[in-house]
Amino acid sequence: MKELKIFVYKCLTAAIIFFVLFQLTIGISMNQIEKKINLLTSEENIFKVKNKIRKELETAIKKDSYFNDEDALLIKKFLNKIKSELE
Amino acid sequence: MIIKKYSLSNFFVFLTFIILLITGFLTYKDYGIGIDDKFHRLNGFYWLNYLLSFTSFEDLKKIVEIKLLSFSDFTLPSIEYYNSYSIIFDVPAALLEVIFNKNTPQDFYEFKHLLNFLFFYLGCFFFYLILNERFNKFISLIGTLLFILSPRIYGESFYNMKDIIYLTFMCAAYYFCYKSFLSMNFRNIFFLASFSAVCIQLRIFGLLIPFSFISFYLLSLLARTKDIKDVNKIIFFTILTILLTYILWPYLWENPLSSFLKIFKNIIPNVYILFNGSYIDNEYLPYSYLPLWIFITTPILHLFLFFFGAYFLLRRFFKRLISIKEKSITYDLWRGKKEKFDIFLLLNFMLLFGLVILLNLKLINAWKHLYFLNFFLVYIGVFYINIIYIKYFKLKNFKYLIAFFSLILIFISYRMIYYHPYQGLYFNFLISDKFKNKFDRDFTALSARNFFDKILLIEEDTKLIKIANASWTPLQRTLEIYKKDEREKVKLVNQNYEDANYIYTNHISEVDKTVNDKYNIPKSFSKFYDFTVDGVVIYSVYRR
Repeated sequence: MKELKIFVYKCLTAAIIFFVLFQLTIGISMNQIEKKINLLTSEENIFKVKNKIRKELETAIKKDSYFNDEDALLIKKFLNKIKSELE
Repeated sequence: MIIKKYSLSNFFVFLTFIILLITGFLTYKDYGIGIDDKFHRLNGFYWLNYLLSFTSFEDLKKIVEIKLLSFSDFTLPSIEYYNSYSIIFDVPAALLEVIFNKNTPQDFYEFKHLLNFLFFYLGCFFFYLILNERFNKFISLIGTLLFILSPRIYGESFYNMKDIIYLTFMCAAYYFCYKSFLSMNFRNIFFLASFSAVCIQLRIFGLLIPFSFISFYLLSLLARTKDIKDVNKIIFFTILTILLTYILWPYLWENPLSSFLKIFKNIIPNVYILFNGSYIDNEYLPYSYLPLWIFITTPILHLFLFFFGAYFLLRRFFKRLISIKEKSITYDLWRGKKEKFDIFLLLNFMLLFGLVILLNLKLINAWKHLYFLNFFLVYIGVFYINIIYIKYFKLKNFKYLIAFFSLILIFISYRMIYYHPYQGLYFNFLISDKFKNKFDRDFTALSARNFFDKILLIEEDTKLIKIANASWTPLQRTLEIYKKDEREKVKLVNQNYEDANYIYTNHISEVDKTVNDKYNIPKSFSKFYDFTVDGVVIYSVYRR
């Protein structure tokens, strides 16, 4: 019984330390991963994405032109090429 | 001389409890309608109706059925689903409401607030009894004053029908736990089992009381095998606790095991909460959530005493732990029964505190669900006062120390009066006004009563006032307490801001306001006034 006593105290202390360390290391990481996964599908994130798209569209509308001269010429040639092939 | 000193202490204890009772009776009508008041009333009648179905009180049954049918509120959660709430306060309150014929909403809500306060009063008395058994009369008096003068707990004692009731029964359970440590007889064990059963019903944390009581018995058995003589009492305690938990909780009657396992599922809603200036999902609270809330909402004196008390208790505990020997004539972790109780409460507190933080339990409304931790905070603080008392009692300067404590307690009382009736939203001096407003405040929607009082006075001659609500608060529950003509004058338009004359907000939002515009105030409205207490913006009103 006397030997068992010390063993029990050591086991209890070790179990508590293990639990705390587990929670502070692996527990935190698991929480973070779970939080990120949940955040992706959350309503708040959908709102964020919607708002971002709205903002980007507003910025795009305000621009004088979407492409520079070189890109515009390149895309024009590319579209013409496709058009000619389809005809 | 000693008799004189004790009779003086007794007089002050008596005076404290009389003043507390008078204060409660004079002020219980001042508090607004809490967000949970209606649900607890529904819970009371739902279970009263169920219990009456086993009896032949036909007239009473009819009244209860009529009362149940009168509940109509689309914001109320379904009672058939959320039926695991305790009946210990709600059912007697519902029955008393019928007996005393409290038929108007103002009448029955205020009556329940008074009952709630009387339970808290009982809790204070049990707390005093614990201190009186453990310390001397003088320390018990100071400790009881510290317990009463905990602003958030005192404020909530009028409308928090779960956490304060739990606090009361927890105090009673710990009192009989200490009595059982002193004398392990069947009477003490019976009361401990009864109060533990009620605590389990009120909050799942209540399970800790019987578990830690049995664990401490096993620890004492490790040190002294002759304690095996009490094993029959421990078995009696275990069976009685299980039996009483079942008997006193009708929720368990039909499917005991599956219903009991269901309560481990956290039913706190998943929402966003304002914490330290940003909206966070309450499913993933930062580790700092609970410590920070306690740190900013507990009076500085309580914090100071708690930190020193915890330091001395922990130091003694570790000394005992590292000096455990195979053979010893004393117990391993404690020397006497008083010390055993100190360690018992310290470990209970650390376990609860640690589990809540490490397991990242979902919480809302500050630390409301854990207000019972205040019991441990104050007890550990009182432990430190006892150390001061023992060390300095014989010194001449001791009377200055008493004067110092008295002054601080008077100051806390003054602050509580200043906050009245919003003591439940108290913040201490450690933080600035700007910082206070970075946290959720009037979650219980107490301020709605003040708002309606003011608006009805300002718009006395108006036939119809349209009010929008830019917060997660069911305003209609507060409106119910007003007279019919006043109720008909107000039209609540929820978030249809364009229809409204006024917009009310208590700044509580279940969504992240930085990305969700649900509660954004339209530009056509301008701020009418802010209602502030001690720099805390309780609610704001906007007018077109």
